[in-house]
Amino acid sequence: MSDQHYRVFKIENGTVIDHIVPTMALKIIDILGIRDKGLVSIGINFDSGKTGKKDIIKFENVYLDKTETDLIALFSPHATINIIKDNKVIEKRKIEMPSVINSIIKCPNPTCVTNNYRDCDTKFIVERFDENSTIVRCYYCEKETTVISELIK
Amino acid sequence: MNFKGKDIISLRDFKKEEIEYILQKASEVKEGRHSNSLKGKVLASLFFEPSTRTRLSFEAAMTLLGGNFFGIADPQSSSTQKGETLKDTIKTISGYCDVIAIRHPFEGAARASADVTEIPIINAGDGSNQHPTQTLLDLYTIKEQFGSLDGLNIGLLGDLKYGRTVHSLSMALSFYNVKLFMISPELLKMPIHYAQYLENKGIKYTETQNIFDVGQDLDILYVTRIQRERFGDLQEYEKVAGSYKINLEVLDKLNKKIKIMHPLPRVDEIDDSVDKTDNAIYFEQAHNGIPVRQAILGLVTGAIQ
Ligand SMILES: [Zn+2]
Repeated sequence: MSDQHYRVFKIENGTVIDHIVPTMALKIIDILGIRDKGLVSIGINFDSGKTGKKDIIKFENVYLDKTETDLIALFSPHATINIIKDNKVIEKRKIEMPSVINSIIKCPNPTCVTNNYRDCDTKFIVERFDENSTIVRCYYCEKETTVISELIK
Repeated sequence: MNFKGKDIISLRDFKKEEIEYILQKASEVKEGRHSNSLKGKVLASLFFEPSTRTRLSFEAAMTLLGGNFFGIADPQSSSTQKGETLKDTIKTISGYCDVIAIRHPFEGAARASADVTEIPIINAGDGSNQHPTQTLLDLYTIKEQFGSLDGLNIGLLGDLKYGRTVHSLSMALSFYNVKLFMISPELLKMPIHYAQYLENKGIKYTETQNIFDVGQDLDILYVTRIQRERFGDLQEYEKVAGSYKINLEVLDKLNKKIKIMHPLPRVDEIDDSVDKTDNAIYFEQAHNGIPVRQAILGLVTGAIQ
């Protein structure tokens, strides 16, 4: 194990999100939230053999479930998820693009019902995606849009 | 096919068989069957923005099959002005009726309403998004005129960029074996995602700025209004709009048997002199709103099977 791993706090139990597209870690924290059970350490712009640079997030004592980690697909589809228990990786998880995305994206259409009534939360259907972009359709106003970071609530 | 309790919100939700079933029931209603089938049923017609024709068409449809209605026609009088949320309004009104028709200035309002009630919701227009009963009556009218939708050459003329009616109609027509001709000024071309949708469905379409390029090939010309607000420059508007107006002189250069449709109300995009020609079917089209809405009201309330 290289020294680099210790630049971010090592955890005995919890969830490690590695190989995040550089500087996307803060966005991911934004959508996943900071849990109150343990330390959350965030590393930005680490050197990485694979992609040149990467971000890494470690949630101590928090086990994120698949519906949560799949949301990362919007920002960093090749990130890896490791679930750690008693210092051992008990699950290596891939990220899959969810078919529906609730709440976390704003609709860019100003006359969409979700932007005009406080009790109408957003819901998007993932229409298609590739390496570079994700196209979603608002379940309510039906407008299609490319997910860009400005649309993340 | 069981429509009871089903919402009618977007053409996107329909299968071809469902569209066909509604059209079939509409012709049964038009033939005089299903009379009084809505007796004892109540429609809430909630028009959060004015649209007198659509509202009257729903209310007449309900009444003519023996049902009753109540509603709001004036958004100023509604409790939403006092800050009540849309969802609370819908939940409350659901207790008083069997079906709700909603017109709303915000896109997605009908879908959001359907989220909170078991009562069927009929979208009577949500902003620039969908107006499915208009589309169904358009399809019904075409079928009534030609016997079938398949094999037709259909021209869509005017504002294809912002025109909700043509977006929704072209989506519905993609179920059929039709050729579409998009006739509009460059500025008001059909948005790329609708064009892609049609392409994915294998629909052949041609784009042109000039009606006379395709006018001889068309079975139907569906005319929509070009709004002045879409142009920054009034002179530019006058120049463009003028070449998309249908009068007797223009009609003379089109296929002799062409049928002219329009969602109404019109301003000046079809000259009054066209009304008395055999080509004009836009008033029949508007009248077909009644049997189509009757069939829909009957189906979703379970009164018509
Ligand atoms: Zn929307």
